[in-house]
Amino acid sequence: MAVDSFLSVQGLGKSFAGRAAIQDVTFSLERGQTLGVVGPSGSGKSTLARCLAFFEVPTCGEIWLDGRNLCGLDRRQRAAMRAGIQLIFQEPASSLNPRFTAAQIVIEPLLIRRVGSGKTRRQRASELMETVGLARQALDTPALEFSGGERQRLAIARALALEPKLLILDESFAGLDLSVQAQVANLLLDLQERRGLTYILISHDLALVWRLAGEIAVMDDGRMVEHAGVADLLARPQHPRTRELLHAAQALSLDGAPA
Amino acid sequence: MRYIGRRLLHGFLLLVGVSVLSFVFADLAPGDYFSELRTNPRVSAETVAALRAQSGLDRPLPVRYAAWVASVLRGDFGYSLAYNSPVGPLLWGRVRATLLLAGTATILAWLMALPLGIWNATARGKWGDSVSKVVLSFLLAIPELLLAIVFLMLAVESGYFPAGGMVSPGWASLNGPERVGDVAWHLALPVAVLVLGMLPTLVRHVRASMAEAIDSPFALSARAQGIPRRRLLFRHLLPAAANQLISLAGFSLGTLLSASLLIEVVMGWPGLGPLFLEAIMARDFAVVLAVVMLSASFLVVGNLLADILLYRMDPRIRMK
Repeated sequence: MAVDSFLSVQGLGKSFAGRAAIQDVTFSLERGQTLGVVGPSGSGKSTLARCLAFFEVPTCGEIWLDGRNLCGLDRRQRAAMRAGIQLIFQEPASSLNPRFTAAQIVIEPLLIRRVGSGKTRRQRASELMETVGLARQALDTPALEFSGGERQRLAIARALALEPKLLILDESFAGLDLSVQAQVANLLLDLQERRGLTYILISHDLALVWRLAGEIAVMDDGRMVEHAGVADLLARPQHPRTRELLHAAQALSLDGAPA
Repeated sequence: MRYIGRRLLHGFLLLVGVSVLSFVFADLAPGDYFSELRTNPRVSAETVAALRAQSGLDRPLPVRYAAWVASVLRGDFGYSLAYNSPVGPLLWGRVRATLLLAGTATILAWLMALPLGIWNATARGKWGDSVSKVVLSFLLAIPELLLAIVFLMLAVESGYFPAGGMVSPGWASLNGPERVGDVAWHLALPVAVLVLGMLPTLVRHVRASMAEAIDSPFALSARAQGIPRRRLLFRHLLPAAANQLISLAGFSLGTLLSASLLIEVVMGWPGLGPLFLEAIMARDFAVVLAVVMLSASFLVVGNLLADILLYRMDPRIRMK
């Protein structure tokens, strides 16, 4: 079939021990856009993220990124494609190697890819620090000494080092306080504008998704039950699960979330 | 430095505590080295009393303890009534034999447990891991003693291995390499028993700590960068798993002198084990105490080394 979209997922399924974690997930996403994926715990959001990031081999279905089919690649091709899709994890604290300094963390992906020389790598690391709003002087600070928000910025800098096309944010905002969430969200919007990054934002926080994403997909029991533009979805929710999530968000009276 | 000093002080106090308690408990236990003599009708009660007075056993506990401390400081480690000699010289040759046995076994066990545990952690849920789990549980359930007896039986039946001892009768006439070979030949069975005994625990710990490292988000993100497996293992996973492994290695080191005692007795290895057992039977308190104190010192030193290593390796401990 013709695949024109930047990211196109067709009939994706993944079973663990015969039990389907996700099934028949189909969607597409254009370059530079953000797709928010919401749904209750256990609805398959994280499994979807792990399949997209090559951590799980899908049981069935196809993933096309930038005109290439990611399923059916051999190990070497997969390793080469990996850099294009980076994941930002939920806990910034444990997603950074506690033994590394900021510089080591950001340089590690460059070392793995054998990019540049020692000097240019460090130069690149210090640029990346600046990009995510961290001080260049902090390069030699141990990862442990950063605050939660700074650690998440560092994790973003590390992901950016490989110049990915697609960034998957798996509950990356959980555990950050609201003002820090807002700062990191602004950073992501800014990066998207300047670099044309494509995001998949996985969250149970509808207000946050509404802020960042242009379109929203709702997962329920392993299926993608609804996928629409943000305004459409909020105004005319089709699936009962979507309405439930909207009610929950309104009940918390999150400021800015339109009814 | 202050950290190390504090730990050293703790270790020292611990050893003092062990020695005091050993003295107190030995004193509470009925009988002493001369109790056997009393059952002999040809030895009068006066003679026994004189002997006890001569060896200082009738003095009060604090005095005996002080005398023992003085003797430790001289390097004698007390006076063995059974051997009629200071304990120190009795010990050293046997300590060497025990260390040779337990050291070889511990090194071999670690060399096998590390790759096996790492492999198990990466193959979780696959058949290889399951098979290894079953085999290790089986080994864990078999007492070392039983293994020792089975191995001895095989040695005697087949004649391929010696059934005890550390060297063959004509050892002194052999040349260098032959001597080493002969000792290795005698080592094989007791080492095999000890390795099989240590392996299940070690592999389980290695597997558990590696599994934790593999599942950590920073290892996942390293994989997302397309890191080669070897680099992932050596740069991220092993350092992350190292904390638990260092503690375990400290413990391994600490039990070097005590882990093999029983096996030595059963398999006729001329180490501390047989000496210790005889001394207990004969109520030769000085020897018992010396072996207890040596094992305790090893445990303290092993843990201390592990703590120092941890302190150096892990920035999280240093920051506290």
